[in-house]
Amino acid sequence: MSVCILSLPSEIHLAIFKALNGPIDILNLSSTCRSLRGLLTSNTRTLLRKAASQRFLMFDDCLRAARASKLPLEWEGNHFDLAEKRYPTPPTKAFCEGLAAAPPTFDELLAVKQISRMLAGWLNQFQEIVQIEWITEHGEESFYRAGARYLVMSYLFSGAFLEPLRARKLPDDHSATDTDEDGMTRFPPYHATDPDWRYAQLESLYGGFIEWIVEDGEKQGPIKSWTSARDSNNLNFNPFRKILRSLLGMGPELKPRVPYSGLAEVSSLLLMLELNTFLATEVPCVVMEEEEKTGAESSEHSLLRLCHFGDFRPKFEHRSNRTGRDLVVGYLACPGDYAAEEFAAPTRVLQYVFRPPSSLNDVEEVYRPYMDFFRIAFKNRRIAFYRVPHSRFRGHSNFFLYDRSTHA
Amino acid sequence: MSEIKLLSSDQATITVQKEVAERSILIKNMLEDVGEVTEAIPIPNVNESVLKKVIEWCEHHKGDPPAQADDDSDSRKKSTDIDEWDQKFMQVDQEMLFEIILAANYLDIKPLLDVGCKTVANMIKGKSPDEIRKTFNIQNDFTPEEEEQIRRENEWAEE
Repeated sequence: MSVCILSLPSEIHLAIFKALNGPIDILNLSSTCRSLRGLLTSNTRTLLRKAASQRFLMFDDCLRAARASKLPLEWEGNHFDLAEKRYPTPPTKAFCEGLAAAPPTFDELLAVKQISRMLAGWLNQFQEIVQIEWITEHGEESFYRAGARYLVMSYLFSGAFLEPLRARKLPDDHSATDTDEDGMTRFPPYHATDPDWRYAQLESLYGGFIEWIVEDGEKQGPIKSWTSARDSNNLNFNPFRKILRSLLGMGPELKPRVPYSGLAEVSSLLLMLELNTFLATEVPCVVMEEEEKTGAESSEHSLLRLCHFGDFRPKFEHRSNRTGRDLVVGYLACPGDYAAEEFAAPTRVLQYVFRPPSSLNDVEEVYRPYMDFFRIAFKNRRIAFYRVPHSRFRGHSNFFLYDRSTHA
Repeated sequence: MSEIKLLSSDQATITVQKEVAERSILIKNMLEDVGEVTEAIPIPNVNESVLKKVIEWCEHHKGDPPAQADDDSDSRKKSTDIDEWDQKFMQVDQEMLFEIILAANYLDIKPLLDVGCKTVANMIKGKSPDEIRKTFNIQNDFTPEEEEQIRRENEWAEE
């Protein structure tokens, strides 16, 4: 009896699959007949994961992000408990690691593809805007890793956007101007100058997740191409630099030894994602700018005015049929008299990285993963972003819940 | 140098140096278990022509270092990494190629099995499913609905 490829035992078919170089070849072979397709679908751990790892940079981290995006909205870890001022059940380190444990499904691979395209877009824009032209191949992987983990964080902690509302004060900080409406204090732990205090706050907020990010980042060690290629006199030009350094695994920067301005950029990045979320739904975004206070003439509720931001149209609300409530999105752009370059860069990033999708196709393919996130944000309702002009945290975005009905 | 005899499935006896035969882990273990043998060792799953071909490969590679354990990390270069002599050795018709692979699998000659699988992989590389079917005479047994589902499932890999 003559021997043909299909008469070979499945262990040899597997060996042939493993000898193939790329995912396209693996999928093409598996698409020839049922028996070979069955082999692929019953060996996702070895075949599909391998193929996906060849296709996507930092596949495991992208897979974590894809899975985190699918967590049910009801998952209690999703929501910051304002009454308790904490996340009820922050995910553990093992949970974060475990997000990539199971082999991927085809649906998840599509989500990974979208996330990967998003990260590629981010990288292109970062390179264009902050001239990170020296990025190496290793640096590119680091960037993807950082971006994917940032997305994981965003998905796991939708309440992270509420985090600055925590009623905590910096030790020995008597800045009364930062105690504002709702009796809440806008002190993101990111801004703390005391590194130990800050880390303790982050740990109490994010639990094992912070341990995961920091420890894993420390293991990565410094990436020389990122530290040496930049003019040390110009470190402050790029406000994303420090958070990139933190997220790119350049050492324990997330924990200590970073000026408050560095980790404050976490909030900028969170904001960027949030804006992107709304762009994905084609809800136009507006800028909500807080006018400078003019002594006694100002009242808290009259400080807000709307202005357009970039190319976005002035429509700023989205009414939910389910809840009947409006969603308000805003971003406090740099005031006209504030010409610091350090704020120009993130503004441009916001304008260019998160410009509205150019076609419906883009919406579906690139931005779809964020639809879920939009729902999360919508569930929280009435989120607004603003910046305090006279804050010592100039140039960085703060954000808070804003009930438009009470301010209109 | 000691020699042993191998008996193919079609009852042909082939004499081969012990060192060469021991490229087969199956034969090596057998010889270690039973000690000296004078009778031909039966290789019931391999016919004469294939066995001769396998022995030819073993003779050429008799001085090679032992095969390394599986290492998926360098799997990317595996399929393009075929020794020139091996490439010529594997220029046989498909049936013989698969027979060699089966024999290598049965006799537990991992390096030969790898070369065989890489050769098949190189025949697949860059081909569409239809072209692969034609190359290996595979019957397309998918329904149109199944083909559409597969197309959707494969979308993630497209650039």
